[in-house]
Amino acid sequence: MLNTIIRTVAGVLLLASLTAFAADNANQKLNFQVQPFVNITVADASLTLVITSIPQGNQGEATASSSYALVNNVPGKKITANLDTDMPQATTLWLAAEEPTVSRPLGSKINLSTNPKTVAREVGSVNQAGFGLYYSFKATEFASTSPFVRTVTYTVLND
Amino acid sequence: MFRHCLQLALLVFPMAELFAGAANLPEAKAASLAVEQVALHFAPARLAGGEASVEIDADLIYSNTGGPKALTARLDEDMPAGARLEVELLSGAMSVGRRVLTSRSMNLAFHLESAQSKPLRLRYRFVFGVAASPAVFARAISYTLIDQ
Repeated sequence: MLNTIIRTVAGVLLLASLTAFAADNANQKLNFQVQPFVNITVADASLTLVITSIPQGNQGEATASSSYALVNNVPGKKITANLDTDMPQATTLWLAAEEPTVSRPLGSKINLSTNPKTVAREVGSVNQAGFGLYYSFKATEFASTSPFVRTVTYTVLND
Repeated sequence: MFRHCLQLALLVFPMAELFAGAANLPEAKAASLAVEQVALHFAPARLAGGEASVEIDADLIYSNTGGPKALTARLDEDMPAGARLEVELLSGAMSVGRRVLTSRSMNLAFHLESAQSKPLRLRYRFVFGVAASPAVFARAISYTLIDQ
């Protein structure tokens, strides 16, 4: 009998103590993933460069400018540029691009071909538009007068 | 007899703890908090305007038989550079609006009145920009009810 009473009282007090110390706080675990985002876009889908004259003793030249936007949260990238098809005989297409940094230094001129050339190196975290792309189309008197089209592809790769 | 003595000894200990704690935590008896989901996963997959974000709604359940309470929240550690976690109470009490969570305790809501197992609907928003390097990490968020 005494045993039963003790057990009952113990149960009641245990319940009372649990109620008394009910938590007034709660914790939740939050798991996050920051994914790599790398995206490059050009401002103009199409540009036209027309050489209207060839100065004596020189090449004819036409220029055009555009820009690119870059979003990147993976430091240590580089940007390359290449053509879908090499330029026709007696013509060249040159590119000078602003590097995607705050000071936007202009990179050296590169002669575009189907072989990817590095436009910018050590690209860090960036989310900005308006980095300049400056094209120069040159031709000698031996170039064909037929119009043609080339596509320049910009690619962001690990440096 | 020995058996009875042993049971009594076990009984006395929680009683002593109960009465010792009662003086220090008079209001803690009256309120409790619990989370509906123990863990949440945030993995934004789309980038818009240079930021990636994802929203998840979750419920806190509270009971309060005492006076009005306020709800506070804090993280165990600040978020990494370029990332932030916002939280807003959508319903269940008077919200202070959207807050960016840090390791410092901050108020999320006031006037949590007497209730039994009442849900508080929260909306989390995880946002990161390009300054946040790709990573997987976790934070613990701690909610507390305090006297208002």
